[in-house]
Amino acid sequence: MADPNGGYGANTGPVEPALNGARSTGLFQTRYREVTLSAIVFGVIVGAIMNAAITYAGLKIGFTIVGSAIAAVLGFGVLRGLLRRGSILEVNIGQTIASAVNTPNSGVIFTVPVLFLLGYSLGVETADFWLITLACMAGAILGGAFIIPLRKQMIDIDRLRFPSATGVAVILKSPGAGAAKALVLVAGIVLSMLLFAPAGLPALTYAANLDNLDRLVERERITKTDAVRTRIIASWIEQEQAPDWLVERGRALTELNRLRDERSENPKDEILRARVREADARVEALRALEAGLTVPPPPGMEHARPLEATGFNDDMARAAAQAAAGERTWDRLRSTRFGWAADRLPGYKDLQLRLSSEPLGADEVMPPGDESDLSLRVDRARDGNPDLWVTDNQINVGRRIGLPDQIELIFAIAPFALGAGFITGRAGLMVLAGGVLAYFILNPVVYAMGWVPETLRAHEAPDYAFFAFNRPLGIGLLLGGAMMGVLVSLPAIREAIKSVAMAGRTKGGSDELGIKVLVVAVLAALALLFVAADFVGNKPINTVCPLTEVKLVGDDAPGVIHTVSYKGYGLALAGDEALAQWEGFNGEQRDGVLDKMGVRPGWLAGLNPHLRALIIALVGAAWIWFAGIIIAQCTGMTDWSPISGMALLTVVLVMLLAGTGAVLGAVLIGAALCVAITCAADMMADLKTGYLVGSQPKRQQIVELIATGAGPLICMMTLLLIVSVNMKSVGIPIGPGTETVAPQAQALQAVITGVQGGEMPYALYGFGALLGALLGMGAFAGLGVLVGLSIYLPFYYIATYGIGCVINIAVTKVKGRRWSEEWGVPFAAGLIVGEAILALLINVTVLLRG
Amino acid sequence: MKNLAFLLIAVCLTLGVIAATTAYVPRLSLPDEQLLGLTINAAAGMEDRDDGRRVAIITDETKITPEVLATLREAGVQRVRVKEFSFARWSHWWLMLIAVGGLTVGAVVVRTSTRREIETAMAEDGEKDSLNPVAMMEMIRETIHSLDASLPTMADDESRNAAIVEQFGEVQATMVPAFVEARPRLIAKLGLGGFAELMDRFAAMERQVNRAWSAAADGVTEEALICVRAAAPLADEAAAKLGT
Repeated sequence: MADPNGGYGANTGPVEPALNGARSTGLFQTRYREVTLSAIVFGVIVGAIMNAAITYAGLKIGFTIVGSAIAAVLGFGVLRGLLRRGSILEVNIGQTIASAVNTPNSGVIFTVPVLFLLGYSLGVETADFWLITLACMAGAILGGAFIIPLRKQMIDIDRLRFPSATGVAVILKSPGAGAAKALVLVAGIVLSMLLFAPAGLPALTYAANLDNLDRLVERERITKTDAVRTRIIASWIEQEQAPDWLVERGRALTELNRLRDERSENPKDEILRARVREADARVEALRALEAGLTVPPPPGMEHARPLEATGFNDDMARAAAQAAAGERTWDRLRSTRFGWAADRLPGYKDLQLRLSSEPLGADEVMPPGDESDLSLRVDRARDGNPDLWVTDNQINVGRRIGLPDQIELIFAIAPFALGAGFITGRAGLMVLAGGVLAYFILNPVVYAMGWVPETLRAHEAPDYAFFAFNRPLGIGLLLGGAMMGVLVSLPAIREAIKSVAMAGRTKGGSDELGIKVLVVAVLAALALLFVAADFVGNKPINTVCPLTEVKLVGDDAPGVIHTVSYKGYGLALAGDEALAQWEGFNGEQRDGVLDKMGVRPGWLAGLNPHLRALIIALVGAAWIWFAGIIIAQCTGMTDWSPISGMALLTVVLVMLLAGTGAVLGAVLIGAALCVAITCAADMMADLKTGYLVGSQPKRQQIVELIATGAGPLICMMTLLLIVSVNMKSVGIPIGPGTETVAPQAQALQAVITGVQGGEMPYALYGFGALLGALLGMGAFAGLGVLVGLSIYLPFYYIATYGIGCVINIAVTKVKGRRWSEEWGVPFAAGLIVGEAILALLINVTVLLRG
Repeated sequence: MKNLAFLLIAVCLTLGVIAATTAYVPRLSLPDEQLLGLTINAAAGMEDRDDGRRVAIITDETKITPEVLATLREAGVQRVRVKEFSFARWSHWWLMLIAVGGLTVGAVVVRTSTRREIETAMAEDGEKDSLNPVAMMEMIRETIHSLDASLPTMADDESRNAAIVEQFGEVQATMVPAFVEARPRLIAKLGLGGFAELMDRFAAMERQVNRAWSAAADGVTEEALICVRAAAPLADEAAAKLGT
């Protein structure tokens, strides 16, 4: 034992007074830098930049990048390198704030864009925009507040691994761990960047050289149509002349934009509104005229098919009109924005690793126009060349070694997945096993038994099975597994919450935020959720009058709009006549109107609207709590989180409660939930990192709860910016036809229309949940979650992740556990962070150039 | 026995998911009244046109009428995917039943075998087992106490920091993971509630150890010393919860 008087020699002060100081629970501590102004400023700035860049990237590619690791590395650069005063814990607080500001973006971009896809319009001037933003901010606070009481259970008691969070801790500790380990970390980062560069860099594009077009077609970088279009544009540039119909469309579009701008300044000017309608009609008329037109291929490409006039986008039309008017040089048409073919930085695809040639079999009958003489097995693109088995981001080993087409064995070129798999270790093998079950057993069996449409070719079966069976079953398994996990862990959860509550009552406070603070945060967030649900729930669900077919929004909106309430829905009717007609309807006729609109009343349709909103807010909050646990468990065990699956279930749940027409309300709650669960998982991951470096949980919890509210606001603003740019350039807010195709929002849109069309496979979710719960009864409670997650995820990521797990097992066997932890984990952390940094850099570049 | 149970679980899970996939794919050999009025949810049947195109006989979103049914049966279509679920139409419900039964049996066997294994291991190895959590806890406690005692005798902060980084680095790298790996044995010994109480104290101690390491690595000796001192009683509390 130490000297009770605490004398530690000349270089230190007495121990006892300092020990009292150690129990201080203030936010700012001066002895050992932790929460500091520089950490806060750093976190907010880095978080905001990452949020905007990752929002853009997520809307383009459909998934987001974890920001903690990037912030940790940048934290070292800025706080320790530039400012020369950051401590391990200070950098940890910096990365905590940065990830808190950044994380909500995935919740927003998976859900909110669906409103644009469904025809809603959002802008800073609309109440809906602010309500959704408020709901997302409420969700961010709810997610954090709900999960904090479970910190002890998940981190202290269940000891979940949180691979990325463990990696971040390794990064934070690396300078103190010695130069050799820091070098290993850097080696991991460098290797990761080298591996990922050919996968990520092709995202950077530039206008292709005319001489290279044939080579680009040959390498499958562009299509033959792209090449023809580019040569046509080149011929216009050379002749300084474009077809009249294109110039005419460009002029009409320019005029329409000008009038719309004027109208936005004078929204009540009826003459202006009429002129906008006329201009809009003219553009539509010109488009109709173009429908049958084709452009012949330029000289030298006579063998190519003519191009349809509609293949030239509105940006090109406007640019052509400007060039024809002498307002811009013809040479400026040479831009990928106008349809000029894009060349890319070199990637794995340029290795041109192709399958071996195989002639068309006697039993393979191809449709007319098929010019390939190769078998479908090697030429699915039907371009006459064997397909590539290495693309920019995937290696299709299954096709290379000749597995049957219905079995996919594809590896993602993703060093982060390799690193996460390594850090997860043996437990990750369960994820691999689930993937093998889904993609190597279930899908081939389903195909062989003829339980998929006969029209499907073998190679199309995995994609079909993913949406028809794997995904609902996987989500069901996740739910059942998580439910069983909660049940089995109840004694531990009870002890954890009791401990938090008791610690809060002790003198000097606790290391955690007290239960009272959390209750207040939950109630405040719940109130926000109620206000948003109540307001949106009472809004009309239609944008077209169901009786007169008159548009109720936009240029054609009538002056008088009435709102009536029926079976839990607000219905907008155009003018007094429509209202009178509605009032004359009996119940059956009114039901007929709802049927015609394709909406059915929800379970709560008969309730008072405010009570309905309250129930939806309460159910939503309870669901957020449960989904937060699922996501935190998944992230804790594997690093993967099924956010989109949970969002999908939330939207379905709200639509069941409020009715299938309550899309806005469903998306609003769905967005709040999505943000909440991502923030819950991020909070838990940050607390895990903090635990490993010895940070005080309370300090992290406070800064994270305060900072996280800024995330949804930044993301929503970025989304609006992207939508406004898209509207100006292509006239479409988001989705197909724009650079930001929003894949996850499209999936959610499909689910919403599926629910409206009665297409939800509830039984599959139910059977999945039953199997997941039973799995959780056996070896360990999380098994159902692991297997469900792997059935739900695309196999190529699982496969790469599985390699990481296997490497860990092999390294541990050969070199021992300690070696694996001391040297393998820093290297794996480097793999995670290297890819994340390069991906962020690439996305920032694309965003700035775009 | 345990391996057999795991095999049973794997097989039954496979059977279960296969059975589930047939929930929305009824046989067309069912009586008409069970099929009429259902909505087809994926292209059904196929005819190969002379020009090589594959065309569905019936497209999705089609309601099953007597005519549709007749067309499909005539074309030899065995099953169609529909939007509606009913136990009466579900062909492989029995397979799901087997899967559920097998998974339940497997779970019970795994749990019983695991408990028995732990009890046997604890009885056979006793306190001498190198992976014994009690012994591991004692090692951690001793390391913390001896470091706490030796730090005042060291010459300067640099050596104190180096000692903390080295000795607590060892605790983090080997002792804590070994203790945590004994989780099933600890749960078997203390029950989940008791295990939670133990880990509550253990984690509080570990966080002080981690903080001491970070502070020492950052050269903030005062904080590191305070954390070492704070970790010592927490280690005693954790050991007490473990019953040592």
